[in-house]
Amino acid sequence: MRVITGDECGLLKESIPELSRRSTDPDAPATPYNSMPDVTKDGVCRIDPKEKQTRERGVVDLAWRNDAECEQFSFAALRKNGSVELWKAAAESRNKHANYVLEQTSKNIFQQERPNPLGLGVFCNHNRICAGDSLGNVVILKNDSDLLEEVQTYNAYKGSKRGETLSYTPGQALNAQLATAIAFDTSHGRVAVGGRERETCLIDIHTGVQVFKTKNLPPDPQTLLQQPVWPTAIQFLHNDMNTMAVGTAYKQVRLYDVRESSKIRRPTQTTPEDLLEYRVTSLCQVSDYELVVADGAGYIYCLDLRRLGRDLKAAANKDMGRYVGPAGSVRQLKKHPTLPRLAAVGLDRMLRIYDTKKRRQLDCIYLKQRINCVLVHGDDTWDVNDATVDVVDPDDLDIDQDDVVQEYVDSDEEGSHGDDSNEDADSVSSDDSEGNDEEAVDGSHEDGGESVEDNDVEFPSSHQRDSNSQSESSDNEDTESHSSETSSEESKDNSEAEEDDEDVIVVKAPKRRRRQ
Amino acid sequence: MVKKKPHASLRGKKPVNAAKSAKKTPVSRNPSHITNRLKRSEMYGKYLQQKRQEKKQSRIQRVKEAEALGDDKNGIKKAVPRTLDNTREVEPTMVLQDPEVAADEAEDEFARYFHSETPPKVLVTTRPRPSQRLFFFIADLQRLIPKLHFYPRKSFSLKEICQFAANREFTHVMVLSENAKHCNGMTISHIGAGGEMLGPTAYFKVSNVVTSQNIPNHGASTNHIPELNLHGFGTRLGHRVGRLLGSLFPHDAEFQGRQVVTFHNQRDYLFVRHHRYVFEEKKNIKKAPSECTTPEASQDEQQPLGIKDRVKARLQELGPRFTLKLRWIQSGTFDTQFGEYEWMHKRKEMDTTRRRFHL
Repeated sequence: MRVITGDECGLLKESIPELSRRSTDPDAPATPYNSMPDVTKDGVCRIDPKEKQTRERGVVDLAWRNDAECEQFSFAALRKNGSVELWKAAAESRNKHANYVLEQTSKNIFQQERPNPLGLGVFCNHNRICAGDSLGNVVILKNDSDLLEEVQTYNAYKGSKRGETLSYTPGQALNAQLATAIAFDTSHGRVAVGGRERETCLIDIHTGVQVFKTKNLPPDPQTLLQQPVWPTAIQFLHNDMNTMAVGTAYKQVRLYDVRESSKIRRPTQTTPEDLLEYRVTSLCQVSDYELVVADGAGYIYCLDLRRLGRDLKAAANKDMGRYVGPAGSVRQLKKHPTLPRLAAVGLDRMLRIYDTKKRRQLDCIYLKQRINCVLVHGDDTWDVNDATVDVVDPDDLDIDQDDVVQEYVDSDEEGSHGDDSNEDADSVSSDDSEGNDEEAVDGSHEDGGESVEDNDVEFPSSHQRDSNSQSESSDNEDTESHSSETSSEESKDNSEAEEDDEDVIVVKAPKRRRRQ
Repeated sequence: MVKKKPHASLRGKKPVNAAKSAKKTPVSRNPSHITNRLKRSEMYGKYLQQKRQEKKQSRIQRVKEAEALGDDKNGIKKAVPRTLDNTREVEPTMVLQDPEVAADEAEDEFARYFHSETPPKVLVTTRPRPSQRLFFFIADLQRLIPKLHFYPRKSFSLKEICQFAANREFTHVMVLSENAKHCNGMTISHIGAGGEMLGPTAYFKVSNVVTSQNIPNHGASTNHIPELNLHGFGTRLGHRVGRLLGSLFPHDAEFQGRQVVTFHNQRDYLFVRHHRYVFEEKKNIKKAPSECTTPEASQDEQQPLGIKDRVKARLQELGPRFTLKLRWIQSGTFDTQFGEYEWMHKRKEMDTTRRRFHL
């Protein structure tokens, strides 16, 4: 998996978490290294080694320029001095690490001398790049490979009241917080901007007209006080881009229905009051009903959207999961397009990768600077075996249970198990004690490095025993599956997910009690 | 009566006097497995005795070896005890001469103070209605930190105070909190003379405060600018805290005053000390040639002693003595409601082992 991070000092780095993992078995076949000829030892490499490191050039936001299916990966970066850069993956980037080429760079796209840029979004369908700053200005650029031409500049707030002039007095904190959150609705061509005491409003990128403005919850009936509003993180939920989640600095997350035809401008769902303790800094949708919320103290929570209601005083539902790890504010959360992986990046200078199903931290990479933004590469061809790991929890494995075997990989397949022979002695005893022979097959195939470490209840011995009887049948399956692996990872992922439900290939071996 | 045959397991074994054999067999293992209380206590006594014997033997052995080696210093292996500092968990954020980190630090909020471009000006205040003892500590702090100005808190909120300080061109704001007449917390916020680099705010837990009056043989400090000694800050977080504390002081020390302020970090505790130092030279003491054991030794004596042996620094403690422990760092000025934390100590998650330190 590849992750690109942009930090406060203006450095762009690409990291490959698998390389940073301390390998427990020194004899394991070093397949990753073979496929990546010029990879650095610890998996982190600077994309722009020749560029200067200054705070002025701090990276504020990163966005992919093309859709996930596109072969050529290129991204846009917005820097603190207002310039937008376009980077393109060089031709051989699949096998190389951090091989990106700076295509285009623009000067300060904002009108102010010292802009405070907020966010960057790319609208692939409409061929536009959009950037916003903290005064509510939204600048739209053409997303052409040759030119970074400015098309229009809008102000998100001017559309609301006619004749309203926005003044900016330097030094006044409140004035610098006119816009503190920005999000881009790529399918409908809308930009959402929200600020301190300013409701989130959506403007259309082509016309600049305010399309939608959210409304606050009704005042508290007892105290008649309005709920204060300060959106600090906005995210469009990708169900159908019709719901928008807004995280506020007042420790709330609200969901709005933002369809064109929607008449309800008040939030449809909101988190109860005492649920979160610090200001919300980032949101990310992890699955259809799970929203991950990160706050300013490094607490990452997983909210279940189905359980949220409209009641502010509802019982704070404390059984939401947490992703444990960050010591400081989390600036951005991004989910891998296909795999159940979440990348969290923040002020404690660490990039953390989590498995979203178990909420376990898989990797923690030290990236030396305070990181502002992260991009997760959809391309996972660099490491074939690792792409489809399902982290197997040893607690989950039940004795005497028919196990679901996703794919059978032959024992002499590369990447599977140099460690088989090492673990033979240990697992034979445990095997006999638990009397479970079927487990072997699923854990061992996917990835030699990862699941073998995690899963102590590994039975490659029985796998080897079985292989003799089943090698013929499984070989065929195996070669098929392997070829399908190489051709398209994503379809494999999908098929795997399906395989869980249907097409269960259950391998039942006769229970053997005697040791070999 | 037929004599009973001994049990099959005892076949071939002669009866043995248990009391005699107990003296001979050494008690190697801690006799906690014996359930009989009397027996157990007896065996435990013997076990301890034996351990002491062993220790004594090994010490005698060591002394013999040292004597045998004579003056050959290479042969003697000094037994290094295993300490928490020795066996500290490797922290990936340790700074090891990294150009990237150096470039980052050259540009951060504190670089100006370290390059003496901006003189620091510190405002200190307390919680509302402080106790009398706190004022003694503040008086000591005024001797510790040059350019420290005290303002009474009255009933202003901290945000207001930061605003006032920015108006009057203060660079740092320090707030002391206390409980039961003991100072227990210190918030240091960098406000940077109202500029753009609104720096971090750090909150420390203060403990073991000893004012200068209570230090035996203390000295009186003068208003010379002291030298600064920041020791033990290893990780990135440590660097940040060290630079924050260092930025409180002007960096053109007046060596005439011979004063030094030390911030020593050990195991995440910061020890703050204020000393006056004086260098003293030792006169070269010559041994009589008959006492020299080897010709090399006699030559050593005649050569002048190295700087380390010749010149010694003596210290006299001035000023307050206290300990700080970092609780959290926020980016931006003091703002617990809406602030973003750069680092927050979460005990259950971070203090998983005794060997893990963050600074």
